[in-house]
Amino acid sequence: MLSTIVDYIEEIKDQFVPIIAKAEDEVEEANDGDDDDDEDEDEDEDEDEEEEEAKDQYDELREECLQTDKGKALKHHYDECVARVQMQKEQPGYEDLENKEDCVEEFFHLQHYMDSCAAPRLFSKLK
Amino acid sequence: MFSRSILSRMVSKTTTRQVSTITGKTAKSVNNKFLITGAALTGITASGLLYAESLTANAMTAAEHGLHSPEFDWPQNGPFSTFDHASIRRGYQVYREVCAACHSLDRVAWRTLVGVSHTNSEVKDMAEEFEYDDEPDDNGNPKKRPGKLADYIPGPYPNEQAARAANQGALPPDLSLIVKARHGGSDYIFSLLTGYPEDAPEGVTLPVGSNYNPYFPGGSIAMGRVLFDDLVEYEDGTPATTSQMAKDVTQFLNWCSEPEHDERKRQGLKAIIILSSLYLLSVWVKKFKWAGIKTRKFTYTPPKPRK
Repeated sequence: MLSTIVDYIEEIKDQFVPIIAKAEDEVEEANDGDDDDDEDEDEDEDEDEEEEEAKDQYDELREECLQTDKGKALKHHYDECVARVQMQKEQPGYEDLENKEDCVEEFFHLQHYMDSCAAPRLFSKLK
Repeated sequence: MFSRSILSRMVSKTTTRQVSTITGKTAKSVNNKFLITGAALTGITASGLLYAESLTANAMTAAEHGLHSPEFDWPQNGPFSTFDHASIRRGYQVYREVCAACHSLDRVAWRTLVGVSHTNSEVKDMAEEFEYDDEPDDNGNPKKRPGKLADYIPGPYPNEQAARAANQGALPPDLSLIVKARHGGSDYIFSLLTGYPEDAPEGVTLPVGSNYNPYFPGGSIAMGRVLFDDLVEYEDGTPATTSQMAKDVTQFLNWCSEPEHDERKRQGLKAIIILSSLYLLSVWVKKFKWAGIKTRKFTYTPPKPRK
């Protein structure tokens, strides 16, 4: 009961505190463990580009959109959520939790932005 | 959340009203202020409980409705634009080589393809590759014959049970009218085909044998990603990327759903031209029809007063 009220107050606080500013504060601690992984992924992508000549146009546009400021911010939010959920998963008693968090909303926000950014430009690149 | 707070407010209001009537009957023996504080406390407790409930409630979520597909620049989008028929032809190839393994196209006959995407002889050859039931011979034994233009495109399974048995209980929908049958139409089909992420978002648990697709309401879809780069080889040399194949097959399925589309727009244009010129003509004719009436003049000559 008390925890829900605390959550409620937290939510009200979130309404007024700018989210991006908050995210910047937590960048370092959230990314501590992920830095290595990110670098690996980047390397993989570079290799793929060299191997395949014809790359999917939609994927290319989506990657471009991911590199914009808004795309980066949304990706950061999603990564933060992933880290949070992974932490929850490692804690004991996760299986028995009544309410398990997922990152669908963060994923939707990111995907929706990438769609609205990539979709209008896609069909001019297709035959 | 909003509706819940309204609800709790309503609850607190009704309790106040009920209690105040009771006080009226019991000769105002209880302090009014005490009752109001009680009602307010009840209201706050109720909204707290409802909020706690809303945290675990799993309804009306974004995941349940699916991600809304963006709008794409389809060739047929303009009021006078038609389908891209080269794309329909490529789309049929994608359907035949990829989708037809699971999805039927029951309501489309071979003959409808003639002059749309293929020539008469090409469609005849395509139909002849399939066997259809023929009339029994003189001894009553069932016979088979090669397909002809009037036949409908055969599906991969003889019936629904066979289709479900082959797909872990999931029924691949018939694609004849799928573009009309889904909210978002072509945009949705295209997004669905190209929108399989590499991994499901963290924390999402999928049923066994299902895949994650954000555009599919609920997120868990039995169909896996089927389109990959260079899966088919187009006869016109178009690079077969995932999005190119998705665009072509969606264009083909849109034609299946609306085979009258191009003709409808042509007829509509004709109708607008003819009807508007007839209308203008009638306005012009009306001038002459009414000329006599409009130029009529009524005069009144009063009788001369008697002296």
